[in-house]
Amino acid sequence: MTEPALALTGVNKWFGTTHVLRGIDLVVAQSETVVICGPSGSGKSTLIRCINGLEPHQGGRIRVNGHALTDDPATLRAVRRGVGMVFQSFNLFSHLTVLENCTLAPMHANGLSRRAAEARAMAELDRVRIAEHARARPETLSGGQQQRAAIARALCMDPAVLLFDEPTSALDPEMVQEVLDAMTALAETGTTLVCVTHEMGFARRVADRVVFMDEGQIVEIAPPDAFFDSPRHPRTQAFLARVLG
Amino acid sequence: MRFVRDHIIPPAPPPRRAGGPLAWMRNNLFAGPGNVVTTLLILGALAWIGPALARFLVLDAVWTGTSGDACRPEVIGRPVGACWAFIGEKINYLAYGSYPAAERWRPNLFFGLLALGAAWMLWLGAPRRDLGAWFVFAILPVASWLLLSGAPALGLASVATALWGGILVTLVVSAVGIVASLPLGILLALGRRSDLPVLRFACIGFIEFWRGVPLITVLFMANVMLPLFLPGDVTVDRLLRPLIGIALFASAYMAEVVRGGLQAIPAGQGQAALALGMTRAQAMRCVVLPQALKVVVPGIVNTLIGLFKDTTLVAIVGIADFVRVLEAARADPRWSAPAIPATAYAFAALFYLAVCFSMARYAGFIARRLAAGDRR
Repeated sequence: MTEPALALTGVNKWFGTTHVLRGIDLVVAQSETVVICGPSGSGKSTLIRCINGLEPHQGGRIRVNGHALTDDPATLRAVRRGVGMVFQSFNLFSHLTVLENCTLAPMHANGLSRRAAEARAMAELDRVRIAEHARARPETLSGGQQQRAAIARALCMDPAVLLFDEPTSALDPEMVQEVLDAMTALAETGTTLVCVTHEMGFARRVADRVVFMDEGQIVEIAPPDAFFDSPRHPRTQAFLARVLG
Repeated sequence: MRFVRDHIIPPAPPPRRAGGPLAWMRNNLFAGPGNVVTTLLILGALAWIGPALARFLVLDAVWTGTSGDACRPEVIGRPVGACWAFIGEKINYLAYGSYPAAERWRPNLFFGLLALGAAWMLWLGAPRRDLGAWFVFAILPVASWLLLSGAPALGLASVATALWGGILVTLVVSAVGIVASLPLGILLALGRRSDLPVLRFACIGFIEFWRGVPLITVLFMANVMLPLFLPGDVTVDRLLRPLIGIALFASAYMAEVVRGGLQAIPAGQGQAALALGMTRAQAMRCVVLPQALKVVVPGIVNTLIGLFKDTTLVAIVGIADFVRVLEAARADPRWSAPAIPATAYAFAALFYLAVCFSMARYAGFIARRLAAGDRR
């Protein structure tokens, strides 16, 4: 059996005295799409920010593509180069054009030449269908276009795993679909996706497994059909009753 | 009841604006009682100051002459405003102090290099601004020092700093303050936000010390106390001492301005760079710092204007800056006339006003340009 993309064992984290992640165990296989859902404050975002070391964890082990995540800056960078992240608020570099956003890290962190980085960036921008905005400033684009640019920026680093932190929560409803479409296309090409989202339709159609978190722990993991049609845990049932109405 | 629109209204041209100068005046100058009173008060003040200023600076001014007599009302038989003849005769002294006349091409070349460096940095569309930064922050300081103080090895006669004076010294002090305080201030601001407690507290201590001490005290300390701390056989040039003091003083203020900019940049910007596998230094240099510095351009220029004016304080520790040579020039008995002191101070005011106003205008231009780029 090949190395899983992600392996979390007994991950614990505290913010001050608040126990925000309580013994998280989760294994994500290569090419798998996992959707994490749960009420706000359940630790979903914190969990995926721990996976690329943006937040330190205080207990347990995280392995990404076979690398153990440690505090060592070089290891952290090696892990992060293989893990793309898309944020709720896009976080595009506002002083750079869309194209420069996509070439900055490949040039500085991977040592690519400008020519190679730009060629790669144009290919990725084309893949999320905003190549025509390559020379635009991020703030001149719509929210949906900005988020697709952010996805392209992450793809330019050739990540083995892509993390999405509520990628559509900051978008106007009419722009949610274009971002979900881009994510669906990625899932179909075999990229490993871990996605925190409230888009239950997306979870049902695209996810291989759905993870439900509450109060810092994983309450239920199931394939989408089983998860939505026959949730086992009472908390899952209550949550689904609230979000699906 | 249900409503369904049966035709879409096409766009219509906007209403015509009431035009003409009269309408403009009514809307902008005399829109209400308060507005009328304010307008009249300010117009009245202008009517009172304007003519007096014009008479002093231009109409009654004396433009030619070889001694103070040319500027005495009882000698020339008319009211006398500014005595520009005095400035004209002393202009070389005001510009260079006692710098030897035969070597004045060196300060002139320095002025030229300074102008080149400033233009290179300030003109946003200039070619190779990265080279310009090297020129301003590395080549210019060394070249200027060799040029002005002399390098016998290069065939440039030594000129003691005691002979430097006037606008030359004012520009040297300001330029050193600016060129040193920007990079130092940025480093201090970064240090103040560092995760390393020792570095952080060292930077905080440094910044708060220099911010807590008046510049005049800094200058006295540099002049009197610095030699006490150094070994007996080490002497520091009399001009260099206040230069060091001013550079450190200005960098503390600059650090606080830059820190404000760093705090204004959302944490997500740096996190996005880290998440892409960049080092913290790369994230700072390529993502956070460029945005932070843009935000604080007005604050930086404000600090630089303050620094430029504060350089007059070096006169206190015996440096012959512009104001001090002006004082010396007006003490010339050959040019003793009632109009001379007012002329001297008016000239100083115009000089400082011209420089500071240009800096402020430039900051305004940059701020508008950035606002146009960052509209959201």
